[in-house]
Amino acid sequence: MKRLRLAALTLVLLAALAAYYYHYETVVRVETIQLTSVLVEKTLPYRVVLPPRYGLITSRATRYPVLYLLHGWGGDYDSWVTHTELARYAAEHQLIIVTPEGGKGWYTDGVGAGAGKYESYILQELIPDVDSRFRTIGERRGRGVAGYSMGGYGALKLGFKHPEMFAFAGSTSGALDAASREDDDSLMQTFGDSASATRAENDLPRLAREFPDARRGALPFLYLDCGLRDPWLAANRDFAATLAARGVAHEYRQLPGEHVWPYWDRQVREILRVASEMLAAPE
Amino acid sequence: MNRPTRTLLLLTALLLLHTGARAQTETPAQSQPQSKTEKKKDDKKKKDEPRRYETVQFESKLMGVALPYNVILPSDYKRGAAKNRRYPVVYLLHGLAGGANDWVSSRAHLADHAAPYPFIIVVPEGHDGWYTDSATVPAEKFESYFLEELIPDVDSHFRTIASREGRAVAGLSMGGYGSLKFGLKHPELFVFAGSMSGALGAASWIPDDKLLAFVRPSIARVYGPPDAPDNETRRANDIFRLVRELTPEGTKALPYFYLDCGTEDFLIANNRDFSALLIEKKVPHEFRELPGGHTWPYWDRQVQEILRLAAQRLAPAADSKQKSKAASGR
Repeated sequence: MKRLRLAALTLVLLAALAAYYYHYETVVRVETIQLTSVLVEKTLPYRVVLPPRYGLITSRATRYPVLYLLHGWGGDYDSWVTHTELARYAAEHQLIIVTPEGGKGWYTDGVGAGAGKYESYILQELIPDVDSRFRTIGERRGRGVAGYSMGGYGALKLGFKHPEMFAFAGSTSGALDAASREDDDSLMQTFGDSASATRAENDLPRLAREFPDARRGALPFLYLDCGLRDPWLAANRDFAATLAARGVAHEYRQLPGEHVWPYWDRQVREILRVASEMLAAPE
Repeated sequence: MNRPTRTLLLLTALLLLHTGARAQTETPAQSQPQSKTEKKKDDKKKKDEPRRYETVQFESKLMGVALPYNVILPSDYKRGAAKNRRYPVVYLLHGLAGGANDWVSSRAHLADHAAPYPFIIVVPEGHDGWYTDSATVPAEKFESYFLEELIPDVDSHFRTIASREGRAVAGLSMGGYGSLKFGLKHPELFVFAGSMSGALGAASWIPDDKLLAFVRPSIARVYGPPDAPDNETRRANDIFRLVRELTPEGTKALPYFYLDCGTEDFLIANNRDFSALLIEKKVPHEFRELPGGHTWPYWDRQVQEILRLAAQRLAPAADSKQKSKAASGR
């Protein structure tokens, strides 16, 4: 009787251990953090997609690269997780993925009343928060940023303005000409009128044209793609041509597709692949 | 400690040790598929391994010369269970000053890259012939050879899916040009046409002093001398012209086009121009530019993308109910 009980207990324990191991080996955990931002004067939630094995006892000393995935105009911190199968795609990589809340702020310190300092928020509040809560490689070589549409613009702009922070910057269907457009209230709120200093400082094509030659090597690796039927195709082609003319290391792709989620659902997988190659491996 | 507790602790420790070992070996392997030491081991292994491709000693009647071609078969091709299975074919064309052995040499790791895919990969011999029927040497018919002799030979000797849905063509440099040209001129034969670092403007290059010296002789031989800038051969094989003259119906019938080029490649402007023309003519395609030169490390990397994209377009390998003609073939 005692023997039987012992055997049963052992079996239960074995099953529990197997389940524990299997869970962390295969399952990607998605967490939500509520971060109170002083700079935007709001609580801005963000999601974190943790890589498989992150929670295993044996991984507890492992630090991972982080990819910040920015949403587009009209989206929010939840868009990437709900409109794509991000968690499933993430299972093939060893990355921590963070999807911040960017409102309609163009990832820029806006000029309008109540526009929010969305660029400073990412750099001064979000990144330190992520680095303190999770086992990240808290350095440039282990940090990338990418996004779709408004987020594509934001990601490449952050790459150009803060090259010391990111080793990779990627854009899919990026609204790269944002800072020179005036056809939406959010653009006016964020960038101000056509002569504003904010426009000049956040004009991505201009940043690329005027980036000093001597610091070219300090830029993150840039990736951009755009669908053939996307209204921003010309802006992306032009930007790629500027990068080429300036000798900036980049990958540009154009392929069938529109400014829609099925396209981003496909391309986010490519971004994860390229980012994994460009960022430091877990250590 | 009593006995049951001790046993349980021991078991737990053993299990954790085991999972620890696995986690340690798997983490770096997944993020970095090939560390330097692993690669060295691979190379060493390769030397001891038997050849992973076959060579078919093909004699071209059209050209009156031997044009041996190489074939990489899918891993299950020769297993009994697959004896009625038919596979899609990828034709992989070499560049100028190259040959049928380039893609199976140690410069490319094609057999490794191809291993996950159920493809038959055929690497033809194209000399310096620009995959074109020569304007100056009547016996040199590299396009006709490819279409009328090679494809039928491959389809009769191997268990191929012998239709458009099961056929792709891709290549590097001169072979990239050849692939897109075959796709444009014979859209009924291919579902996918890919180009790496394609010499896309070849048919409009004039073999004078302005053209790179190592390209000049073959251009003159295939497309004619500098004083014949607009002969029939040039017109029929100029892929820019072929795209400009596409009708809407013709565009619909085309294979899917893929092209890439390194930003340090002397052909980058040529490729950008072609992609701009494809956009203008609304031809579905994918174009990529990325760091790289006109070199084998670039092609060895990009051929993996070609295989990945071809796999999305080609019909999957399938067992046919009919007894295969080529079941006992090579």
